[in-house]
Amino acid sequence: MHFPPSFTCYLSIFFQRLNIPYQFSQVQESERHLDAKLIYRMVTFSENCKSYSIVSPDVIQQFTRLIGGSASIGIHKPEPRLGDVSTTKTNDVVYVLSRVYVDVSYSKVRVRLHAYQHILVVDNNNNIFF
Amino acid sequence: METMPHINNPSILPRRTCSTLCLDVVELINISRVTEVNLTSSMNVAFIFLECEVSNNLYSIQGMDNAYVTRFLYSPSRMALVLLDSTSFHCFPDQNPVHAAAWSECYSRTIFYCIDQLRQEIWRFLFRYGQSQGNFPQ
Repeated sequence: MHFPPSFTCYLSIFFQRLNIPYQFSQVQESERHLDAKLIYRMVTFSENCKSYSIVSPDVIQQFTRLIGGSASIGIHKPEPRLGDVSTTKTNDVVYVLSRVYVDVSYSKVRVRLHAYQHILVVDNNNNIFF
Repeated sequence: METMPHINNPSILPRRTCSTLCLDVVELINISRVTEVNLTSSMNVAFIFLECEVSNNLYSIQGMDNAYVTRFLYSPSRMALVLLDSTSFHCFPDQNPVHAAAWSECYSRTIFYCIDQLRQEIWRFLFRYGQSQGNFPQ
C-alpha cells in the first residue's frame, strides 16, 4: 500500500518506541509498464525497507491499539438480506490476528497477516465464547 | 508553573466515556489553550473528536490508543464543566467547512487517515480470508 512518507516515518518511530527489532530487506515488485507504440514490458522495482516481526501477544496488543482494537478481528457472516438485523450468532467464524509482519519503506507499507480461526459456540448457560 | 484545578483531578480529568459508540474512550476537557509544537520534536499525535463527530461520521476509534473524545469545556469562573459548543470547537478533525481547508493538510489528519486506510486493508484481508474458506452457515 502506498502511504505518504510522514506516515511511514510515524510508523517507524512507533515500532522504535516499542523496542521491536527490525531487519533491513529489499522488496522487489514487477509491474507492467506501457512503452512506446503500445508495447508493454515488465519493469522490476526494488525498494529498501525495514522488516518488523510482530509475534508476541503484548506487541500485537500494542499494534492493534494503534490501528484500533476491532481491526484485529474479522467475522465471516452471510450477507444479510434487506431489512434484516445482523447479529453475531453461533457457528459464526471469527478470525483473530496471531502474527503480523510489517515491511516499512519510504513510501510503502506491506503487511502480512496470520490469523487463528475461531468458531462461536454456546455453552449450557447461553454464553457465547470462542 | 501554573497549577490548574482540573488537571489530575480524578473527578474531572481524565475520565472514560460510557456511550455505546465510544465506550471506554478517554475523554478530555477543552480548556481553550493553544500551544505550538515543533514537528521534529513531536513523538506521537493524538486524535481528538467531538461526540457528535463520532456518532455522525462513525469514526472507528474504538480501541485506539491515542483517540480521545471531548464533550465539555471547563469554565474557570464557574469552576464547573459546560457542554461544549461544537461550532466553536477547532480541534482535529474539524468537519466545519469553514475550517476544513486549514486542517485538510495537517500532519495529524494525514496520520489518522493513513491509520484508517491500514485498518480497512487489514479488515478486508480478514474478511476475504474468511470467505475463501467456504463451508460456512448460509
